[in-house]
Amino acid sequence: MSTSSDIERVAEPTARGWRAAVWPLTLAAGTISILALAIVSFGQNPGEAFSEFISGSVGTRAGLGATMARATILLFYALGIALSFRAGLINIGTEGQSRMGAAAAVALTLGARGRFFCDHPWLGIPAMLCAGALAGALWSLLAGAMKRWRGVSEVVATLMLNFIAIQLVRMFVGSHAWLKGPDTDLQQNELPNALKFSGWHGTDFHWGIFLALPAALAAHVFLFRTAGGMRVRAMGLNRGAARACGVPCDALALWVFGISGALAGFAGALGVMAVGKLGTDPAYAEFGYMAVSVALVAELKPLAIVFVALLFAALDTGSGSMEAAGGVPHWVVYALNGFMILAMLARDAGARKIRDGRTAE
Amino acid sequence: MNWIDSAIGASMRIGTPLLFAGMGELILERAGMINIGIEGVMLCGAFGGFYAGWASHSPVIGALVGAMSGAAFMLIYAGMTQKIRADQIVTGMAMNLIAAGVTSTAYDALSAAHPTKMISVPRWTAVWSQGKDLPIIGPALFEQTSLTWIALLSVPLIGWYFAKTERGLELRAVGENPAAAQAAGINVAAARVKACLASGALCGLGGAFLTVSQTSSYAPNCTSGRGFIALAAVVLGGHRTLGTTAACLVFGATFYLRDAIPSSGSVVELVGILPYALALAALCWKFKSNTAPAGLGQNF
Repeated sequence: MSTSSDIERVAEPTARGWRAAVWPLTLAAGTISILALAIVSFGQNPGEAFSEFISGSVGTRAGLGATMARATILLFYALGIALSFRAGLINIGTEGQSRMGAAAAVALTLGARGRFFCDHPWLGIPAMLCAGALAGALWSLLAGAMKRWRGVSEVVATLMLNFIAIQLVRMFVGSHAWLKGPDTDLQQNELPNALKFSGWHGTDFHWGIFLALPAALAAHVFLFRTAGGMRVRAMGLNRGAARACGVPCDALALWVFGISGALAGFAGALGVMAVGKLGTDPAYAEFGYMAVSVALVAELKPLAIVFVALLFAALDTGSGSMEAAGGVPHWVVYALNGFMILAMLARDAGARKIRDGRTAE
Repeated sequence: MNWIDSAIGASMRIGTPLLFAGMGELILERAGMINIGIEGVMLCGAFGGFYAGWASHSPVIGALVGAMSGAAFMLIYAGMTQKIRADQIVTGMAMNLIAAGVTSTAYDALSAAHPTKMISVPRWTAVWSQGKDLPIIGPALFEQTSLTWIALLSVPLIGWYFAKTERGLELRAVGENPAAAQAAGINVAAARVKACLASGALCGLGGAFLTVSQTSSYAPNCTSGRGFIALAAVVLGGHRTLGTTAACLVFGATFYLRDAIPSSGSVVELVGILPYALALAALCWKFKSNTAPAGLGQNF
């Protein structure tokens, strides 16, 4: 499939100087005009809506905390997606992988194990995060194995695995025998307090972001400063050529599947600990798809993902508070994400034209 | 006998939108394009059809408008992949997001504008409701609306088009090797845009079926993954019309099974996984013999 090289092209730097600012500005203008259009068509006062948006996303302490918490999740998801897309693997199973991670983390807190981990939270929290990462990696490797040994397209495989994971986790949450444990009369899926992340002055903010920022840096260093990252990118650009140069593509693909799944599962565990309970739908439902937009708009660059994740998280929280104020439904954010992806693809085409012109000279 | 009849009828009803979407994706894949955005195209058809059916008090007009909105939405895909030569899978993903956002926002606006009224489409009557007592074909055909008939009739039509007509041959050539097709004097982009329109109309009908025939009401994201199932059905069906039809109807039956088995216990809910697990298992079992057109996913 030519997909890989096309996606990698998105990631190439295309313009320098003032030209580099054109696309971000176009994106921002497009975003604002779509939002404005939606606000006006819902008969909401634009000024009021805008102030709601700001206070819900960055203007207040609660808003800022929620934005940061969401950005943390998006950041981890998008790092995994960027890694797989760089390798030419269209792993869109983040949603399922993260839910499996969240369920695995919660499973660790059941019964006697749970009591042990509550008594030793400094053991329990890392254990939960590891369990999440492991479950996510295994779920992702399932798709990787299907691609490697059965030739199933990873796009279809990860999509189907998403649905299966969503159902499995719902079943897990709904079952009294499993989640609620035999010896508890606890009818809610709340985590023990010791294993919850305490917020920051009553906001959603938690220290997960201090894990996410080094992770982004590490991903950047790996992708652009190490031989392994070079191999991953070579594989994404041209699998045949990479193999001819001695890159073990099949094994590398499995590693990429595993690591991106681990990132998703880790973030799933992080999310469930930040929210404090596992519902039939996690608090950050559908973020797995939003993260694809984050990764693409950030041109698959880990450091850019930090900022784009913050931006998208702010869009999400801001539109949520607009909806709460009786205005535009938060659905509009989905449309915005889609339009941003299309805009990135169109920019890519423009860049290609410039490059083709240069080669022709 | 009674439960068999209702099982056949329900499987057929659930299979119809899958069949529409499967045929739509099949046309596209034979022309060398893969679209994971059919979910979004179906949503557009579902909402467009629902809105028109509600506004005009006619489910038939709803279905027509549904097909048109699907085709119109596919123009985005056609433009992005053929003109801009953007990546097909990423374009499809963006289309899903756009469709989910736009239709759900529009539905919220619609229900906000009519807070007291129940917004629904008039019932679409069955083809021949007296015939529903006939064994097997009664529930399978006569109890259904004419949309199911259209879906079933589209199968031999599409098969004939690809196998027997010159245009169909050209379209297959475009899918297998666009460069060779272009060299042979076929306008690749035009052929692909036409395939996009046909595919969009079919997927739109599939979405509209959900809102104007199956339920006569709308809910945000009511297609709930049917487009992705159709995608798997095309692969399972070996990129052939009959195979895809069989896969779609089997998926319809599995979805029926999922809904029919009472989900009181916890383990029973495992049945909810059935359609997807079946799809994956079948793909693993089958995929070694790759039936996809050689040019699938390649822009030209």
